[in-house]
Amino acid sequence: MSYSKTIVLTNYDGETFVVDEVVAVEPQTIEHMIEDGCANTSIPLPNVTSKILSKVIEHCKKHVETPNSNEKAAKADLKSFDFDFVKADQGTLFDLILAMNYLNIKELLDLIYQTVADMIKGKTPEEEEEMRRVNAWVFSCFVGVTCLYFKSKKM
Amino acid sequence: MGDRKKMNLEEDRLSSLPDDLIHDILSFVSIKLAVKTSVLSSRWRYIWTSMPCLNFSSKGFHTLPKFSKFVKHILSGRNNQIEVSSVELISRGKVVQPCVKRILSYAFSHNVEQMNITFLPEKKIEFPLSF
Repeated sequence: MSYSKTIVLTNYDGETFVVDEVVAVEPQTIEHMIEDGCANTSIPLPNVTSKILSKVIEHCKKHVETPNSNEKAAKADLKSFDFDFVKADQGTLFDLILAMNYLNIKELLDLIYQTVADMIKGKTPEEEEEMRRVNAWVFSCFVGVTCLYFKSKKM
Repeated sequence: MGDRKKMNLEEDRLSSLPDDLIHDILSFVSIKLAVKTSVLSSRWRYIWTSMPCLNFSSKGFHTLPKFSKFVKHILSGRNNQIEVSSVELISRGKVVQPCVKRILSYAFSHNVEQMNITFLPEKKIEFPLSF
């Protein structure tokens, strides 16, 4: 039976992950590899670290295991899972973006894009302070805006 | 000052993403904000000009003529060689025809694939509690 079939994924660090095929085909890249018959031994994923790969597998598992029903509880559960999932530090988020882009998981990619876009969008002063503390590039944004401000003042 | 230096030394992961991934992230915000990112650094200066996804919204503009002017600047400042994959236009109040026409003709001449246009009433409509 197809659902009991397992797929072996080998990542960047040479570690292997054994996953059920139903979970492994969530990323389109892997699905296409299996379709093309390239997945008989193990699938190499050279640009994904084990930390990121286990996170991706965790996400795929959750989405496969949650029954695809219109049940409110199941939907809410998945939503709160996704919400917690993207609450990662920025380094992890950007590693995830690169991995998702390579593995082609559109759903999860959109979720992370939305998260990063929200970081860029308007913030409350407290959040801004927090961002300034933890994030170098936003800080450079403030420098940029301040420079513009001083320029216009001089004129 | 020491703190600032330390912060600038931190690795800037967002800027090191390839252009198309930054475009994907910016497709979740309005074009106005995407253009604003050009003040960040030289890396960001021209990123918005090659975005395939254009989200126009009259929100944040005091008058529609100002919005119209903004649209004109965007379309003339954008890299003409890059095709447009999707266009979104959200406008509140009276429709400024030349502005919409400009967006549409630009979109069609750049092989747009997806288009979403929403017009909202000028004032909020209050519905009676019961009929």
